[in-house]
Amino acid sequence: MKLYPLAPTSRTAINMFGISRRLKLGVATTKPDALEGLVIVSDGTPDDVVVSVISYHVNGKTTVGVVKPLETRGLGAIQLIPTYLRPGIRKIMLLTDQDEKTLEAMREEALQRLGTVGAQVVREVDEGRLKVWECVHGARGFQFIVAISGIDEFGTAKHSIEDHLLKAAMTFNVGGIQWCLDVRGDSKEEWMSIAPHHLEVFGLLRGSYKSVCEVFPQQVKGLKCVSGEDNPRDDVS
Amino acid sequence: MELAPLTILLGANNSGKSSILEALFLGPNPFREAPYIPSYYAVMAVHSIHKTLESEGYAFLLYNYTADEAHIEYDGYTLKFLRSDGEILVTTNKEAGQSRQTTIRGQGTTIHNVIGVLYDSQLEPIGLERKLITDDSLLISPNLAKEGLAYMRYRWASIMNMRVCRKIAKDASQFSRDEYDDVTIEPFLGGKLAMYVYMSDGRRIRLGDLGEGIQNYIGARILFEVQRPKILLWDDIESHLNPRILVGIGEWLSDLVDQDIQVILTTHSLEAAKVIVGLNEKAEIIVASLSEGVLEAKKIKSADLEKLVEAGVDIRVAESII
Repeated sequence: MKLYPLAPTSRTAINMFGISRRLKLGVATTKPDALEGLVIVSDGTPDDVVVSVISYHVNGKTTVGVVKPLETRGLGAIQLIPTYLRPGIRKIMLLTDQDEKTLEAMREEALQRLGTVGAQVVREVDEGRLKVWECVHGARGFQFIVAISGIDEFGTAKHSIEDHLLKAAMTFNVGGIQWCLDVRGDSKEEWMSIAPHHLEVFGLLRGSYKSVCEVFPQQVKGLKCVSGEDNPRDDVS
Repeated sequence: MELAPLTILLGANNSGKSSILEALFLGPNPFREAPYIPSYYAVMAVHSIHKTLESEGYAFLLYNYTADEAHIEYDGYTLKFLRSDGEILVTTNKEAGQSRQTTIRGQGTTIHNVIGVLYDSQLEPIGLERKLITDDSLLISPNLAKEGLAYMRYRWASIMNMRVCRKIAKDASQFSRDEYDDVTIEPFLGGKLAMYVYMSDGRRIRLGDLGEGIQNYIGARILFEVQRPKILLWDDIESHLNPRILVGIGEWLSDLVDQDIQVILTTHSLEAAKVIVGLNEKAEIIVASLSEGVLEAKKIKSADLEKLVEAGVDIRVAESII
């Protein structure tokens, strides 16, 4: 899947173009093709890099727009949905950290925020950390997908995309990370502690679709959904 | 000043950035052919950049137009410009050129390794040595766009036979909804020669009608292929570039660095600096400023640049605190 940053000189875009070039992913593009959907990377980095690596494994034929809202993060980005709803945009995915919230609280907050911006939910699929809502806004129907980053096996108080990245580092045995994060742990700090190994982890993820699916199940499903592709690339082992 | 594989010289106007590029462009030999107007010496291209109204000549290479000499020095190599009896003799510390009798400050003397002669108020120099003395460099500048086109027209047959135009056209398609198949020069509109891009649907669009960003991109790519220098110098990289093309050029420059080609850019734009440095881990930013005629240069990390911007500090005008 190609990623078309809607602000090509933003930090998020530069990270996407940078990792795409370094790992030869070929996913970040400047070509203004029709967009299949829109991905909101509401928490910035390293989520933008993760989206790039997963997109390498997902449907090479479609292009989706990518935005990182400047002033809101997390589910707060829902308030921008009316701005993003343009002709041709029928799928919007929001990637966000769970932080210290419960999944049910996040569901409630998302529904409340959707209501506030005038989006009516007509169908809901709730798979825990992946939520898909069929919505209507005015005369326009759209699919809203929320992928919530976090892994239950980590006993930390806050969950984030770094949970997944640490799991990837453990899976590949990179950086000497031990499975010892409890409620006092912080996966962001742990991930930063192995900063020299970040590129290695992303490179290993590029080479293994199987690992990507195991480590990032909700993000993979969400991105496949927004890309309109049911089947992953079949040329990647 | 230590230059990285990819260096971004950032600074306000008149901070000395362009002078560095011009010096590095002249360094390999000011009298070699440069791809700007057929038979142009490199020094004549620099002259074109500085020309104002009808002024001609090379006194601008000397400080305040009146200094007795100027030097360009790098990697143990020196190129000197010596004023002598209304002439500016160009000499080097390498074996090249000829010895020449002259008078400097009233004293007769012999100058060795003279590779050419420039004049205070005359365009045409005398080139005594045209071969490269150090690795070749190419200067891309918005002020040389017309000269570059003139050169391409003159060399078009050999450029076409290099078989790079199709690739360049395809690469330029990444900035447009259209698909470009090739670049050509031909008589089309009114029977007059012009440069065109071929569209995949068979139409042609004159290069001049595509917008200056794509023109600059295509022009720079072709000139680079003509010259294949070891050092690429690009003045005012942000000029006429929309964000899409800026990213595309940043990616191309990063590819060049991977091929061991050194790239040195100047820009006023914090955005351009952030994009290009963010795309290549070998890139470095140097903030340049002039203090009483002396260049001051400060290396700055990308993360520090962002912190200063967030803190409300524009480093292009904040020399005193960095």
